[in-house]
Amino acid sequence: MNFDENTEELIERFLNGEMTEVEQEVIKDRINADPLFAQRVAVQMAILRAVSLPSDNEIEQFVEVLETNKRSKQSRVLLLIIGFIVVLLVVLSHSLIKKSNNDETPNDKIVAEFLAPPPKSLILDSDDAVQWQKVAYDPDMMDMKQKTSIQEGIIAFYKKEYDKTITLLNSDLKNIEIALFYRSLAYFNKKEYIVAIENLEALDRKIENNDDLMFETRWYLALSYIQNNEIQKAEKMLKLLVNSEKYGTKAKQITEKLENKYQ
Amino acid sequence: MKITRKGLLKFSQRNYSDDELIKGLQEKPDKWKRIIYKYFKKDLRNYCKSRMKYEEVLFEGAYDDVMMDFYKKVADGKYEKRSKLTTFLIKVFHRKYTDNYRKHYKKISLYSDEVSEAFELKDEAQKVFQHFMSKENLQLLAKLLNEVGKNCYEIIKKHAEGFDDIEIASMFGLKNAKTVKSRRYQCRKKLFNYLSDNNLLYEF
Repeated sequence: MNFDENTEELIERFLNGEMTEVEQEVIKDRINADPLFAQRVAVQMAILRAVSLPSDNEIEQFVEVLETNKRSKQSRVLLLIIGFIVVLLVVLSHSLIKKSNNDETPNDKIVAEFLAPPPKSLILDSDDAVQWQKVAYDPDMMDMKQKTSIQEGIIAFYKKEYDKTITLLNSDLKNIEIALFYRSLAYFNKKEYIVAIENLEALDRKIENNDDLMFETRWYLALSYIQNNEIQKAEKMLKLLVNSEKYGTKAKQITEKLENKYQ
Repeated sequence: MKITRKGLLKFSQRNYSDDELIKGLQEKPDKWKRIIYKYFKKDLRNYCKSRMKYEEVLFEGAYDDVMMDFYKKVADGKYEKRSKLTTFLIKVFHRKYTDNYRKHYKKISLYSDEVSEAFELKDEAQKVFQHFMSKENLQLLAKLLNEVGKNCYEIIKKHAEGFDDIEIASMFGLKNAKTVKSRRYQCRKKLFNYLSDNNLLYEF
């Protein structure tokens, strides 16, 4: 049988549905009438069918690529999410640290204007903490261990090592006024105003015959009340300071500011 | 990168083993039909786009048919695990899509039972068709066509998948549609002659 181009084209048109119904009928009749022609049609159809079915190998390769892509995509996304979470945590912890370091109360600005460390004259003749001559308590009444603790605690306070101050001026020394004072101030500087207030109130009740320390205590107690938003208590405390040589003016000024703000 | 709910859901979609999917389908068919339907759709769409002439409507139709057949097969206990589930579904899908595509464009079906019915084949002609459409002969034809030339195989494959001659010309860097047609003819001629020379044609 000759493999002629015209017959091939005719069969291709037939298989491609490019014929009219009448033409299709003619082809169908010819298939049934002419076995050799039927063979040509069958071969062309079979070739199309054979190539249109993908081999198992071909599909398996596709599936393999698909699974590899899925795995790598998932691990990429996972890495991205982990990276994102790490960055988020870093940013979050950074801002939390910043916030805790910078934990402003509503009255921080008012208090800041009047804030100064307590004078070292409370404890020393000069600024040299090592000399340690004029202490506001009787060193002979304490044992050496207590004395050393108090000295180191106060030195730590001026070095702004407030945790160390609190540890050294611990509750064993609560009967010693100066120790309680610096312990309270350490809490004040750590912005733990409630504890500072408790300590300063205890000290205020306790102080005898020490005007300097009394005024200092009341002044810091007033500031602690302000920071703790206990304005009435603060104003009451400030009134007690009006006659103080050191804090009289400051007490009036800060009272005015509080009145402006809260009335 | 924009993170969307859909994207996160897609990412959170877990991978199931074939056994999990089949077991799920057997035990809670309603729930697992929904899962399976979504689970394979993207993969099969990718396959279709990369290997065949993709048409959304035809894809959807073929995909639905494949899934319905698969659910039924599992429900009737006729599904046999011979390969990966994805491989199995792609195979079935490929056949279904090709068939739907041919029907949609009013081309003649390539399946012998349908041909036999449509052509109202008589005994001799029916035997001829059955001979060439047997699994062994189809595999042999594919192998021989590959031996005739890799390009021959690919050009005819693209034609079978529904690409027109202009598209095929651009894919293979051929001059025009006429060249494609002529090349296809030459390939088939070589194959036919090989079959004839080696007594592989139907013996009347």
